[in-house]
Amino acid sequence: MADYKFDTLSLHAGQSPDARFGSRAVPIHQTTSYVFDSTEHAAALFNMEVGGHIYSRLTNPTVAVLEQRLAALDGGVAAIATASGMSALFVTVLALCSAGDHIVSSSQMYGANINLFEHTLKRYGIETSFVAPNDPQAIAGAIRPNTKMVFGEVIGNPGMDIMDVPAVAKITQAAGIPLIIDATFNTPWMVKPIELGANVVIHSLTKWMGGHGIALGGAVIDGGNFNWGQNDKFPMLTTPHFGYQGAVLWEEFGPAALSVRIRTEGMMNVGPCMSPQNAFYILQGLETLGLRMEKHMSNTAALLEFLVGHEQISWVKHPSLPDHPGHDTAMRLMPKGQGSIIACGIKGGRDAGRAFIESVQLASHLANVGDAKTLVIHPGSTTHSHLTSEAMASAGLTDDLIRISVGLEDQKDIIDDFKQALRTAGKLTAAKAKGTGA
Amino acid sequence: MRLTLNNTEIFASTGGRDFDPSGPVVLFVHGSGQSHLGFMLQHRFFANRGFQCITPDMPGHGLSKGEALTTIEAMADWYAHFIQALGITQATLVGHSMGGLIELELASRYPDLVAKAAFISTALAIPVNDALIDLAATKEGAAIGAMMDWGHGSAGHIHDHTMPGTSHMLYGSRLMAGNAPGTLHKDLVACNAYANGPAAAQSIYLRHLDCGLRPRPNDAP
Repeated sequence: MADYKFDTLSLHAGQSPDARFGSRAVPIHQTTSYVFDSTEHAAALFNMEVGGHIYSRLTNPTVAVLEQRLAALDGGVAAIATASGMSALFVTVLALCSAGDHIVSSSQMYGANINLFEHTLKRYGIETSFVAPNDPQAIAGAIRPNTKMVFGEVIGNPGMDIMDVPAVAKITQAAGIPLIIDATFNTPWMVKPIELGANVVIHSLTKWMGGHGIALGGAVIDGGNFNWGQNDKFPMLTTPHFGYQGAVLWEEFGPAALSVRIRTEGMMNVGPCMSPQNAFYILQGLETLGLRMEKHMSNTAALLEFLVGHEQISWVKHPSLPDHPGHDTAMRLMPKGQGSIIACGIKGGRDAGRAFIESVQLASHLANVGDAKTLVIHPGSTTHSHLTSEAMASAGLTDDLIRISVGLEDQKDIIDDFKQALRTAGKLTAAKAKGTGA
Repeated sequence: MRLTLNNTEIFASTGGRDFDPSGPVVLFVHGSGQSHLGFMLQHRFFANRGFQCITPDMPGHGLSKGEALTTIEAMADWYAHFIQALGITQATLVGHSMGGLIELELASRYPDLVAKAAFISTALAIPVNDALIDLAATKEGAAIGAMMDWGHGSAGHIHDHTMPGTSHMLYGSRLMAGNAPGTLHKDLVACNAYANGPAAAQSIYLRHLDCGLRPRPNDAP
C-alpha cells in the first residue's frame, strides 16, 4: 500500500485539492443540501449507486474530508463524524443493540458514558455490566449470550487503568462480538486499537485530536475487520434494513456494513451531525497532531519528574511510572508515550487541593482535557464536591486528587506555575492547621 | 442469494433487488482476491435500472464457502455451471482483471451462454511477477498491500473517495483479507498459468467492439 506515514496522512488524508478553484486548504462547505444533476442522479444517490452528497445531516464534503482522514489515521475502512464523542458512542450502540441486549463496559469510564449505559439505555431495555478494564478474565466472565459489545478505553478515565487490548480482543473474537475502544486518551499517534484487534474506535475529537479546545466533535471509525455474519447476534446488519430498500448491509457493503448502518439510521433518524465549521477546525488541529503529541509527551515527562518525590505531593499516578499497575501493559502497547494526563494527590487533602487549584496562574481550571493549554481540576472541590470522602473513594477518587492535562507551554513555565501554586497551597493549609490548632 | 453448487454453499449478490433469471441478466465476474463487493456500486446501479444483476463469489471468496479453484479453465466451467443452475439462458458478462480471463474462456467454451461481454482492466494474458506470487503465499497481507498500492492512483493513496467517509484503499484491503486464507495465491497462480487467451479470443465471434480508456487522474499522458 502507498505507505504514507502518520504525519503525512495527518496533513493530506481525505483531500485532493479542490478541482474548481484549486484551494489547498479544505474548503468549508457551509451548506445544508446539494443540487442534483437530474432526477436520475438524485435516484442514484438515494440508492447508494454513486458517491456524492444529499443533505448535510448524512454527509458533507468538509466533514467527509475529516472522516476519511480519521479512517486513514486509525486504519479503518470508514468513519462517521458526529456532534460529540457522546453521540458517536450512542449511534454505535444504536446500530448494534436492541431491547433485551447486554453490554460489557469498563467501569472506569467518563461519567456521562456510565450514565448513558447505567440509566438511559437501561430504560430502553439494554443492560450493562461494568467490569474493571484491566481484568480480561473478569471481562470474559461478564459476557452473556445476549452481549453485543465490549466497550472500554486503552487508558481509562479518570483512573488511568490500562486495558490490554490484544488480550481482550482475543476474548471478544472467541465470543463473536466486537470490541469497541474509546481512543480519546491515546489518539492514533500513541496506538491504533484496530491494529491491536479492536473492531470499532470511538473518539471525542474535542480533546487531543482537535487539540485546541475550540470545537466539539466525535467520531466512529469502522475497522471493517469484524465478520458480522458469523452468528445471528447482529440482525441490524444481516437482515433487511428498513432504511435501504431492504438491503442486507453485511452482504451489500461487507466491511463497511456497520458504518452504513450508522449513517442510514443513527445519523439519518437521530441526526447528531457535525457542522462543517467544526470539521474545519478539527482538521486544522489534526494537521499538527504528531507534533503536538510529541510535545505533550515531553512536557508530561518533565512535569512528572518535578512532581514525583516533591515534598507536598503524596502520590503521583501516570502509566509511565513503574509503580502504576498497568505500567508494563502501557509500555508494551504505547511505547511512544503513555498520555498527557497526570493524577496526583496534594498533602493536606481537600483543602490543599482547593488552595492549589485557586493558586495556579498559567494552568486553567476547567472541565476538559487534551487542550493545547495546561488544564487542572480538583474533583473534590468541583465536580464531586457534594460527595463525602467515602463516596468519592467508591468512585475511584480521593479528595486530594488533582487531575492535570499537560499542555504545550514551555515546560519550565508549567513547572514554575506548579511550584508557586504548591507554595501558596502549603502556606494556606499550614495557616489553617495552625488556626484550628490541629 | 445463497445456493449450493457442487456441494459448496455459494453467495451471489443481486444488487439489493430480487433476481428474475428470465430478464436481461448481467453477470459480474470478479478479479483475483476479490468478491462481489468489488462491484458494490455497479451492481446496485444496473439492478435499479431494470437489469437482473447477479454477482457470485467464487468458492473461497467473499461470502461463499469452499476452496478457491486453481485454473482459469475450471473457473470458466464453474461460472457456466452457475449460469445453468440458476436457469439463465444467456447473460451479459462484465469481468474485471482475472474475471476478464474467465470471461474469455467462458465465451469460448460456452458461446451460447454469453450475449455480450464487457472487459474492465484486463488482457488476453495476465502474467504475474514471481515475487508477488511468492509474497501472496508467504505474506498475504503484504501482497494485498502491494496490489492496493498499484491499483490506486494518487487520490486513492491519500484515502480520498467519492463515497463520503470511506477509504477505498483500506476498504479494498479488508475486502481481500476477508477471503479464505490462500485464495489470493491460488488466483494469481491461475492467472499466471493461463495461456489460452489469444486462442479463446479468436474463437469468439465478434459483432461489435467498443473500447473505452480513461487514465487514472494524475497519470502521465
